[in-house]
Amino acid sequence: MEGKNKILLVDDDPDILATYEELLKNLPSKPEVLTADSGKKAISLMDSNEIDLLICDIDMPGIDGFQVLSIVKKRFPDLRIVVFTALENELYRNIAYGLGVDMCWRKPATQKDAQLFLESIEGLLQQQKGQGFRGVQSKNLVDIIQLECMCGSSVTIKVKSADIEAKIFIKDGEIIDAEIGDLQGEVAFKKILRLKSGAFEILPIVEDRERKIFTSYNGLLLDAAQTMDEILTDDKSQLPDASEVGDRTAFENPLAIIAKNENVLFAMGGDLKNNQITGTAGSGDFNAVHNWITHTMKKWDSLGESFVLGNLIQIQATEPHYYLMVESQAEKYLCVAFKPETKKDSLQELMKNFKAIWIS
Amino acid sequence: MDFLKSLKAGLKKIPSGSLTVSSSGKIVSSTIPSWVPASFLSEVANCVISTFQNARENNFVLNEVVIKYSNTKIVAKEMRGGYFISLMSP
Repeated sequence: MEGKNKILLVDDDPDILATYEELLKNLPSKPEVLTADSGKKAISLMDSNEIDLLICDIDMPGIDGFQVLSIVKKRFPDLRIVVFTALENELYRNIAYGLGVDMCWRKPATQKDAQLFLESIEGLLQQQKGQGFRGVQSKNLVDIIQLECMCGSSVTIKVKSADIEAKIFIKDGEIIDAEIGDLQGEVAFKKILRLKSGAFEILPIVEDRERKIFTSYNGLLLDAAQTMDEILTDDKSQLPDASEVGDRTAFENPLAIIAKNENVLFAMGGDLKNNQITGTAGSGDFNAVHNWITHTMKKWDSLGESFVLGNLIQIQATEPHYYLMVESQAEKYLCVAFKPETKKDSLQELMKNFKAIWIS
Repeated sequence: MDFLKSLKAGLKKIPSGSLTVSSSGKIVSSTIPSWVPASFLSEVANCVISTFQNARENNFVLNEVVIKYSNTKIVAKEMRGGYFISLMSP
């Protein structure tokens, strides 16, 4: 693409406009960034400028983001659009995708999220206009890999599931390597395919990536499909029979899977907004723990907001009979009680994996 | 928004240090620099006391609590007659 890409950033919050204008300007492709603090100004700017990418907030006074999207989609059908919102609402996401946006992003809450957001924007800018179809939704990872391989593409598929980040490297339609955490090669590829949900992003290939996978993509995907079938069968046979434990949701409940870990005494989930326990597994005084968690999280969350300590990430508590770890996501929390003899240096890794299971 | 606030506050992060507080919330000793607002320290003390007290009300006894924020980590231990609190910058 010749010339600089032009991004239009629309948000009614001047702080967000100023911060992201600066961050976006410093992307590797050095795009030109225009800003608008209202839907009306955005539409007017689009009439007088050729915009390559629109990044638009949803919740704005006057013409809101959805109205802007409807107008823009009619007048500029080929424009790439990213919705950028503080609202975490599945309905809004569905409406936005229904209107044909390319990506929906929750406004980054951490430096890591912001980095991922900027990388995905750079990825979108790298895609040439008018090439390929857009708007692919609800496809699983295997579909995407198969599609890229069949097209003979050279790309990196970046996958993010909870806190886990993974990459699959495809060169000339063959899977040449994969990485997740410290793992690489086929082992990593198989592990990535076990992720149950998440977001993926197609990035340019890393040219000097060393080939570590030599099996054909068909062979790999067949092998992976077989492994997945075996896992599903094993999972079901290992889980306690619903009637035996009196837990109707044992098969679907991620907490039951977490509580099966040898280091765990119990696991529970709760809703902070509605002050209720949403699920439990194992044995413990769940009401007491829930009361303490809701009280404590509110207190420390409020302190964090008042004194700019950043987001409340985790609460740990040592009790004579167990070691509690609590993490929250979108007004819901996961609490895991570890046995006191659990190795301290493995706790964070275990909790990270449990959170991924819980979110999935 | 917290994230933006954090970006702006990046230059005046809460420094590392520790303090001891009495069970009534009075700050007994502190190694935290004096430019850190006293209101912040007393609010931390208040949260720590409330966390331990609420646990007792719910019939479990805590030895230690660790609160992790993206910019700061707070570790609190209950001692005889008060609490020991550490603030750690990442």
